[in-house]
Amino acid sequence: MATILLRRRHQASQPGKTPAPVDRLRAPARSGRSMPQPLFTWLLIAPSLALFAVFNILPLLWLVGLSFFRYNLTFGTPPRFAGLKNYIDLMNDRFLWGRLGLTLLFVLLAVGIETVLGALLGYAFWKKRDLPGRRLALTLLFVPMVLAPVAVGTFFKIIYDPMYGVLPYYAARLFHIKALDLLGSGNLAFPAVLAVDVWMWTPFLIMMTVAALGAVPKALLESAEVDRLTTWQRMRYVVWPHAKFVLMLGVVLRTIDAFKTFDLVSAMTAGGPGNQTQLVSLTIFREAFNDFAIGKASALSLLVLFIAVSLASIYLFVLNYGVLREGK
Amino acid sequence: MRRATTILNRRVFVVLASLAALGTLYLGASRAFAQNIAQPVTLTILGISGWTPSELAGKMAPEFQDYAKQTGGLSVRIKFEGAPFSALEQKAATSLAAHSKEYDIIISDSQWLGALSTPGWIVKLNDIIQREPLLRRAEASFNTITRWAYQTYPYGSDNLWGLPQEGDVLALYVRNDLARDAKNQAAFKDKYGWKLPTSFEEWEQVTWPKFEQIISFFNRPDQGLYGFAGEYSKTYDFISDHVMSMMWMWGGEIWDSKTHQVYGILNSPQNNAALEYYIALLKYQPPGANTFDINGVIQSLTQGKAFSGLTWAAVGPAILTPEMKDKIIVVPPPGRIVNGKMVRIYCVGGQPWVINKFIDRQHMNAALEFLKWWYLPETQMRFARLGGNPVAQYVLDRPGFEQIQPWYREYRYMLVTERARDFWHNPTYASLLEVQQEAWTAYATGVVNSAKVANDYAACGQQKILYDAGFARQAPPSSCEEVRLR
Repeated sequence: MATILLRRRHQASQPGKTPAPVDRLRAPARSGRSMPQPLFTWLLIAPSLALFAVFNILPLLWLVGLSFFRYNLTFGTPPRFAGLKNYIDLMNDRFLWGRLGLTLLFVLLAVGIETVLGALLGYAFWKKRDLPGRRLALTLLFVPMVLAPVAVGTFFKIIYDPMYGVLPYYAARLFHIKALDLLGSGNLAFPAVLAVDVWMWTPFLIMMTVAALGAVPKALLESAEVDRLTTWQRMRYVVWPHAKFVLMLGVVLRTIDAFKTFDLVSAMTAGGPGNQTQLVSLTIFREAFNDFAIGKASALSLLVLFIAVSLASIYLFVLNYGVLREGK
Repeated sequence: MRRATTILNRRVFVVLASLAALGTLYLGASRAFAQNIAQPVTLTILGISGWTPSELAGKMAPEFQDYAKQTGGLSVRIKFEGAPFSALEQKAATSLAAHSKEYDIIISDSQWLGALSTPGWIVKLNDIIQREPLLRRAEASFNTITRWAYQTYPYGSDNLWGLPQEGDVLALYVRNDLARDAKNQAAFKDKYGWKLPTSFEEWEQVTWPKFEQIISFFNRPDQGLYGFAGEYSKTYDFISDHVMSMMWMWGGEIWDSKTHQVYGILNSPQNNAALEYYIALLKYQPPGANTFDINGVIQSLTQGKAFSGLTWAAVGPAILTPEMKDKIIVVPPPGRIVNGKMVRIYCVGGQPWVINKFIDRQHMNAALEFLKWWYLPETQMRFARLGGNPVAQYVLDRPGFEQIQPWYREYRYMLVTERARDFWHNPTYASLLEVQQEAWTAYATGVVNSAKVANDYAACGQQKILYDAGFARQAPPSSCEEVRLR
């Protein structure tokens, strides 16, 4: 429909052609009882809006409400209004800030490494379009991304197993590292989980990079070649301005997703050893479905939502900063 | 004319569509009504997946269906749903919190009785047991630890919320083929001056220091054999069951069950020593043992990597495979000499049945029939033959019971009040457990290198949980502010 409308508009803007009246572009009237345009529009989006309201807005409002109540499922007492107590408790929870810090470190490292690797590999794939088996390689690269994180966590738990795992076996054979215990070591568990996240999600950023580079007009690239721009200049002045939006969208999505990492860590370490991989999403789960402290878990969820939205907003602001400045 | 026809067609269409919808509804409703009358009652049991005694309930269901039909003319169908240990209570509690009728009977873990009964989610069984002769008879046969662990909240009170589905105790699985080997016997005697135990009676005399000599003797990493395998995992209560057992044997307590005081009790010098001892045993265990769960111990034994392993009697069928059943014996775990007397106290395992309070009368009746059938001597015996652990004393005392399964002698020996103990049946159970699992696994994996710090962390955390929930009178001391796991 949109394509047709655009085509019509395009035809209307052609010189020498009679411009189509705006009314003619509206939905055709039937049986003399035409539906007003705004009503028709609302009717079309109503199902999506209803679903959005039922499954997103209402639960979110419910969550906000619960966060002001002291409510534990297993205490046998009804929810009691507690004002800001849950939030004050969170602010005073010395362990929570450590877990938030650990989560931010995880996000920073995971997204950082995935972006660099994804951009490099994506560029390689984009550059070598005639590479034999390129399509198959791309397909295979995306496999980790489509696997269920809990399954990936379980696979890697076995791969890392110091007694039967493939990795410790080769570490011993090739590098004489005896009984490599990645998930049972306070120092190695975090990087071990991080490595799996990188393995799993780098393909997503490869895909975004390939898509982003595909958005660069061929004509501009050819002009850059004619003008003998250096690779750096080509990247800086031709590729980046066109590719940055898609690439940054990938980074934003990955950041939000990494902030919510749960199932992978839950399957691999359950937050351990000790609390070395206790990310904030595991803490929320523990509060809600282990301790059944629904009020506190709601407040913590909102805090995390706020941080994730803030991070995404910062990214978008940085991304649009140049555009905004030019606009001024 | 054309427009009129269109409108007419539309009206006819609307009328026909409405009739079709009403007809469908009528047919559906009458079918459902008919099904309600003719169809059997479906009794849904939520149990532990991958856990033999729990799954046996589902496996034995057809026998109950026949029994119910023959005795009361009841047409009952059993549906078994499972969840792993770590997710069972999440599944049960969230369903019960919604007052759902999804599960009629739940195989809960014993420590959950407080959390399930306090909000009024499960049926209190005192009156029912008194009313039903079969249940009364079974109840009268349970020994004290069975009643306390699987039935009561508060622990040890007269309030009965559950009935034992299976009993369980910690057992030591030992490679007797290696212990009986003449060369090993001679070498061990030369080195330590006492006989390497090979029988139940000899193992009954083994203390922890002696056991350490045995596992040290069999710890031969160059041959791919290690002395011992224990549970150290952070998942659910795996490390806790073992560490708390050590604490009780070392003379410690985990809390004061009356005042709910934890600080100063859990982090006592005895408990610090007990934790230190249990973690020090890692040097006799296979690589990665510091995160071993039940499965880690099973694999170490079945794959010939460990000389001995401490885990539940209920996993006997998984360990005593056709290849291993002639090589392994099941014996009491080591004890400790206190005031000249052997003390052996270990965590009790096993799970109770609890009944959902929100189910209708029809399902309630079917659930009670099921439980009555469960405690029939022939059902309990059948359960035993399939590898479950029955608890009714009239079955445990039967001649030849100990020969039914290789672990039954040990099971019967350990399931007594002076050797088995359960931990908090408190509504805050999951929170209390989580904090000590975190602390003790931190120590087991070297995140902290002091048992005292780990126990201080657990004690501070638990004191705060119990204080915030209104159980403990004392808040954690200000010194707790400084306690961290790295």
